[in-house]
Amino acid sequence: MSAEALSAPKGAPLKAFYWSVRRELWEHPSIWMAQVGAGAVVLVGYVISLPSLPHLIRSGAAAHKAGVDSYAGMPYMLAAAAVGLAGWITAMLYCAAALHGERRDRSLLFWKSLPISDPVAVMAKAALPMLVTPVVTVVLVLALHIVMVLLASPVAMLSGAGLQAFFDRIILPRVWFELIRGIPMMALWYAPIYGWLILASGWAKRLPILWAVAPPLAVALLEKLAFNTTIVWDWLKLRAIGPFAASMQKATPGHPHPTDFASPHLWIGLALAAAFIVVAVRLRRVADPI
Amino acid sequence: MNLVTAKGLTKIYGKKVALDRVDFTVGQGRIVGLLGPNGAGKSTALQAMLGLISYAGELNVLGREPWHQRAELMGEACFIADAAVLPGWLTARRALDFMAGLHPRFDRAKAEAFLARTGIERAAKVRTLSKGMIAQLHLALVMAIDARLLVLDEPTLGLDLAYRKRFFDSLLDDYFDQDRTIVVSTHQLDEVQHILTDLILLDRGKVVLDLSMEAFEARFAEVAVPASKLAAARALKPLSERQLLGRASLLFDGADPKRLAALGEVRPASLSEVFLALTDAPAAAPAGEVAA
Repeated sequence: MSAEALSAPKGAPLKAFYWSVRRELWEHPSIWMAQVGAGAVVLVGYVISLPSLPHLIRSGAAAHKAGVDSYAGMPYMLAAAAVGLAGWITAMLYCAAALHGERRDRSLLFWKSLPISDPVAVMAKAALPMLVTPVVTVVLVLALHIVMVLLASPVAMLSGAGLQAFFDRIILPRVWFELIRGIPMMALWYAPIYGWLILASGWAKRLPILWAVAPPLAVALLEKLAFNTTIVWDWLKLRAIGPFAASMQKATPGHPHPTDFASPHLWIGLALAAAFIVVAVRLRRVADPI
Repeated sequence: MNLVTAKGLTKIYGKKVALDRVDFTVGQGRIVGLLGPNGAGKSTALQAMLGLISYAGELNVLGREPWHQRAELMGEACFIADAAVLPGWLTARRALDFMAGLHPRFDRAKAEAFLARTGIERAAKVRTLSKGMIAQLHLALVMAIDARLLVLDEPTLGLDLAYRKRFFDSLLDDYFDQDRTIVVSTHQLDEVQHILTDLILLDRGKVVLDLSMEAFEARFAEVAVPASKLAAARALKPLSERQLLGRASLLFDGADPKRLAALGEVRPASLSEVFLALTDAPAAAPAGEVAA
């Protein structure tokens, strides 16, 4: 064997990973386009609402004294929620197709003819919901907020409501802090669901979403009928809406939110996600075009 | 030097034995045709060689065990499965970017030069290209890889004659040299006969014939026998007999050339004729006569 052949694989897995992620982005542009679309809708709505901004700033100042959060800041939270939700939904749809599409269009035979190992290929797919979507969400929301501020500032200034009052009302630092903390936490919390969907997409010949959703629900139903308990159902509910339920209540010392690092739920979820990915790698190794 | 060595290679799908203790080797610098009827085990053998499926028995490809070292193997081997496996969303430009970024042995200039001759637009998506064009694009990508082993599984399936001819011509003219090795499975026997250096004929999971083309030409001959000499010709136990333009044409395996010349006009045997005699019509070729 030549010296060149021996030195070639150095750094190869990293290169393979990088190009595999780019490939996924080429194949699934919806992974970021849906979020850009959601951001655009928010922006249009905000522009239409701008004439009422001075009033909101003034009434907000009064409301703030009464301990109520201002509506002037609401569009900024809505923008983050809309972009985040769009990212969450497209990430789940992407996962449910991740190992299915390439089997269906037979391109699996092309991808497998390249020096990309199955673990690297599956990790690259998992990187989209776990890495790309959170980064796109945070960057896009920050950019959106800046554009919104640039559009709103002249209105606030010229109307006499005042720039300082405007910034006081939209509480951007707090929204940004929650965003930068919350979005990665959400990715970690949903890792087992992403992993499970990727596994189902590698397993199912047709309708991977059905294969992902039906078995857990069937187990929950069976449990309810057989023992009249809802342990599985409660657990599924926690996994599905944990962060949203948590944001509705305040944490108390000793009882952390299920999505906090101090909570075992988060760590159990991550362990499950890892297990699902290991199975998905094995499935891809033996996968045939369908 | 052998790039591929299979010993007792076996693959069983459920109850079906796709490969039954198959032995073969592929030497460096050879163009080996892996031929056989549908279900003979050709694709199974090729996929096993590339680590795409598990198998029993021993298999060594470029010094590696394919099932456990697919990614490493694919750094030095290339594979074109039947004509259309490039994803529809891929553009020619992105395909080039991807290969250039990923593959340590990919020569972008080479691929660009080949593509320039095909008239494929850089921005064109694969789904807008004809099957023949897709095959050209895939070939451009693969030929630009300095691979030691190229495996082609029905690469021209579904292509019209002009594209098939171009495909194999490009392969010979622009790609093949003494250091390259090609293993190809195809049904277009007569189109590949002149490019092969060796052939392996599979039937129902077993190797029926494994020899170089020189040996093939020395062993098999077709003789156009006039009616008067037909009885004498049949006494030499031909593999098969067919009527061609009103004359009997008999296929012989390992018969003495001098005796054949006495019977009638001797022609080199065509691959397809031998293929039919050894696989498709077992009644005409009892197993005992097939064994060399």
